[in-house]
Amino acid sequence: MSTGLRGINIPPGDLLQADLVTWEARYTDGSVLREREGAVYAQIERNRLASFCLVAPGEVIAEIWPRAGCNGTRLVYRRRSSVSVKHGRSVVFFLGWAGGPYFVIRPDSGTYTEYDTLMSDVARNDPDAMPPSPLPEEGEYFTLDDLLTNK
Amino acid sequence: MPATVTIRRWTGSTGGPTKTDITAGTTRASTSDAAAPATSNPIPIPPSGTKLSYWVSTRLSADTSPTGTINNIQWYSDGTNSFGTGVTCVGNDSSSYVQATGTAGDTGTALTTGNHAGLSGTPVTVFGHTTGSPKAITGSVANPTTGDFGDLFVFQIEVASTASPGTITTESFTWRYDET
Repeated sequence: MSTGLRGINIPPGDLLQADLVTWEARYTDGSVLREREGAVYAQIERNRLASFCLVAPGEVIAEIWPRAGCNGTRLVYRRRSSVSVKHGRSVVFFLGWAGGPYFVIRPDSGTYTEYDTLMSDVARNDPDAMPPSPLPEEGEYFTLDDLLTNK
Repeated sequence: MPATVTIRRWTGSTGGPTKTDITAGTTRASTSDAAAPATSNPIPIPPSGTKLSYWVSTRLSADTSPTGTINNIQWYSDGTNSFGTGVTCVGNDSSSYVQATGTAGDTGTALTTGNHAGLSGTPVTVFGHTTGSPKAITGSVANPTTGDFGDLFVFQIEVASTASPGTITTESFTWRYDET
C-alpha cells in the first residue's frame, strides 16, 4: 500500500487531546524533523519526505505516505481550529497530498475521514474538509486548483 | 505548540479600543458600548419599526504566536435564527474598527457602510453564514507575531415590534482558522 493511514488511538471526549498532537516529518534517510522540538512546517524538506505523522505523547495517531513513485512535495497539513463563544474550542487535523487523498483526523472523537478528492459531494458536505489556502512554502509545489483537482 | 487564540470584543474609542476576551462565556448586545453590559441597557421593543443594538465588534487575537502561520479565517453561525419572532441579526466583516454609537438605552446607530467606513459591504443576516458556507475573513498571522489578526466581524441585533419581552435565546457564532 503506497498511501494510507496507520491507526488512530486517542480516547474520545477530551478536546485538549488535540493540543498534545504534533507532527513529524520522516525522511528517506531515517532522520526525523519534529514539531515538538521546535521545527516549523516551512522547514520540511519535501523532496526527501518518506512519511508524515501526527503523534501524541508516546504514540503515532496517523501516518501518511506519498503515492508510489511520488515524493512529498504535495504534502498538505493544517491544524484546523474552531472557536465559539458558546461552544468553546474544537480542533481537527487536515492532511494529505495535493490532488488527493486527504484525511480529516478528529482526535476528540478518535475518528478520521478519508477523501479521494475535495470536490466530491461528500467532501463538500464536510466543513472540516474545506480546501485550505496554500501557504508560501507550498506555492512552489501546488496551487489551489491542484487541491481541488483529483490527480 | 499551537497558538493561543481568543475572541476579543472591541469597545471604546476608535483610537484606543478596549479588547475584552469573550472566549470563555457569552457576550450580550445592548444599547450601550459596554463590553459586558449584563442586563443593563436592553434593546427596547418598539411600538412600530425597529430598535437596534449598538453594533458588536469582534476579532481574533493570537495571545501566543503560532509556530508557523494562521490563515483561512472564517466566521459562521449555526444557520438558524433562534432569537425568536421579531429579532434578527445582521453583520459583515470590517477592515477597521469603528466605535459603536447611538442613544444609550434606546437604539444604536444603524450598521451600514455609510455609518461604518470599514465594512466590506452591506450587512446581511448572519444566519446565511453557516459552517458549510462560512464568511471568509481576510487576514493571517505568522510567527513570531502576536496580537490582533484578521479583519473584524461586526454585527447588530434588530428588534421589531413583534418581539417578545425578556432574555432571548443565546446564539452561537464561531470563528474557524487553519494553523501550521
